[in-house]
Amino acid sequence: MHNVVIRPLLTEKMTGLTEKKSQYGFVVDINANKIEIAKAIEEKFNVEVVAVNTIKRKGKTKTQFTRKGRFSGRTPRIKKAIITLKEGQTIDLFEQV
Amino acid sequence: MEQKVNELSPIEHEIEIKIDYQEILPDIEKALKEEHKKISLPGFRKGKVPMQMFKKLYGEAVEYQASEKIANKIFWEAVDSADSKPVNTPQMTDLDYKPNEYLSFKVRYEVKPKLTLKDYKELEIEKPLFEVKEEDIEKDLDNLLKAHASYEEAEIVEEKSKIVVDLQRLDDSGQPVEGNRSENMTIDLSDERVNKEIADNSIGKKTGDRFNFNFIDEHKHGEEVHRQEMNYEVEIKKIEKIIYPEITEELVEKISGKRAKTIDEFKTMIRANYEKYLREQSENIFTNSLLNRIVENNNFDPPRGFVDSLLERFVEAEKENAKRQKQQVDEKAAREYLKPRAEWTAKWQIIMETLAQTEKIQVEESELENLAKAESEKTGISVDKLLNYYKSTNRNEALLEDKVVKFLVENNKAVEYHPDKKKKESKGKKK
Repeated sequence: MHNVVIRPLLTEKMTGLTEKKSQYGFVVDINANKIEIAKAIEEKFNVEVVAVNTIKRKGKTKTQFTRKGRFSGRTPRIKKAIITLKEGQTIDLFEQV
Repeated sequence: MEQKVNELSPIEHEIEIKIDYQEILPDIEKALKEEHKKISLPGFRKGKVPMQMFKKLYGEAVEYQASEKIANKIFWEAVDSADSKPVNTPQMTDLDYKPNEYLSFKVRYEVKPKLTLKDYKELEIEKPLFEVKEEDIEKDLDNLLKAHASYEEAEIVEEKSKIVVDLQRLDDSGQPVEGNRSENMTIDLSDERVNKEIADNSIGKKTGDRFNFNFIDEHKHGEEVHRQEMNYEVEIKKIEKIIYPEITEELVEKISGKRAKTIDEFKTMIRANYEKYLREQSENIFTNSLLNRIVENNNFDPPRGFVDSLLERFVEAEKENAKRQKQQVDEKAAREYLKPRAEWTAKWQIIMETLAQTEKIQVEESELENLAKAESEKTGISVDKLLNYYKSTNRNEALLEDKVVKFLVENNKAVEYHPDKKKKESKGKKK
């Protein structure tokens, strides 16, 4: 499987979690499981992962009405992973920005 | 901080400043914090983006932007402590900012030249002494009485009559020009602005009589002067004779605002007012001539930027004035005719300040306070408010100018003369 970790999840809520619980968020491949995610993170950032929590967000149907008619499409499904690191370890996400 | 002032010319300076990054760090941090408050990114509310991320994304841009403001602030601090202050808007010529290293810049600005004043004392300046003429008082009185006069129909036109006329323009052959007729126009022959030919030709005429008069219209189209002679025929339709009111104590009290009871008292009052006005005129002419002479005696090229800023102020004032009177102002023309005034004012301002320094003329804080107290008693506005207002409007500069002018008036000699006698003498010489 290519690129398990797609991009870091940089939001206000995630920043709070990082500061309080040393948890980091990432958008990951929709088909990746927790084991694969933990392994990918450990390899990429050279850290030790204690826990992985995942959330799947369904894609939404979006409809657009134009002069040429009605267009329908879907926004992509995404999987978010919240990674808990071993105490004392950190990831510099802003390096990636 | 390294600082160096280069004197490019007597009226132009350039300051070079190099400052260490550590010295400007608090200002940079402050700018980052200010900017941080305004930024919002997807996933973050406005001002909630982590500082580290914000610095990564926008830090450099914000720092460069802030460096210009910081350079500006440092420049004014440096210049305030120096003795020659800029008189125009300074131009930043070179700004070099290396984050984490230094900030360096050069600023070019104009300064007031250092003058050595000469010939400003013991000058002999002409001062006209105007005299009140009996005819001026009579004319004034006549105008005041006319406001209370009545009119009655008469048969013959007299000197101060009012006439109602039809006016017809004639061509060169004496034929009426179509479309150039005005009917039932009232003309007050006592009005000085009325065409003299109308007044002269109408006297002695009766209702229904006709007479002609010429009117010369002279106006400018750019530089070209247009002159057009027009012939009119006038037909008198109605004549009214002025009936002056009877001069009673009551009337005198009314027109004098209860300051005089008899006509003689009133005339004395008019005379006193005239005398006061003419004395002030005479003083103003003397002071203006004196200042002009001093500027002439100490002529120099004023800093261009200073003249321009004064000119800008004058043009703005002209525009404001025109706006208040609901008139249009030709800005280009205004700039042209106000330019000599701006140049003169710039020279006088610099001479005045140098003179104040040379003669050690100063405005003390207590003088401003006294002025505020006096004004406060008249207007009821608090002394503190007035003092703040004076400070914000540079009132002390106006006070200093008053003191310098007073000093000059006291240290120069007025050569008094009577303008009428001088006119007669010069006419006699011409003959």
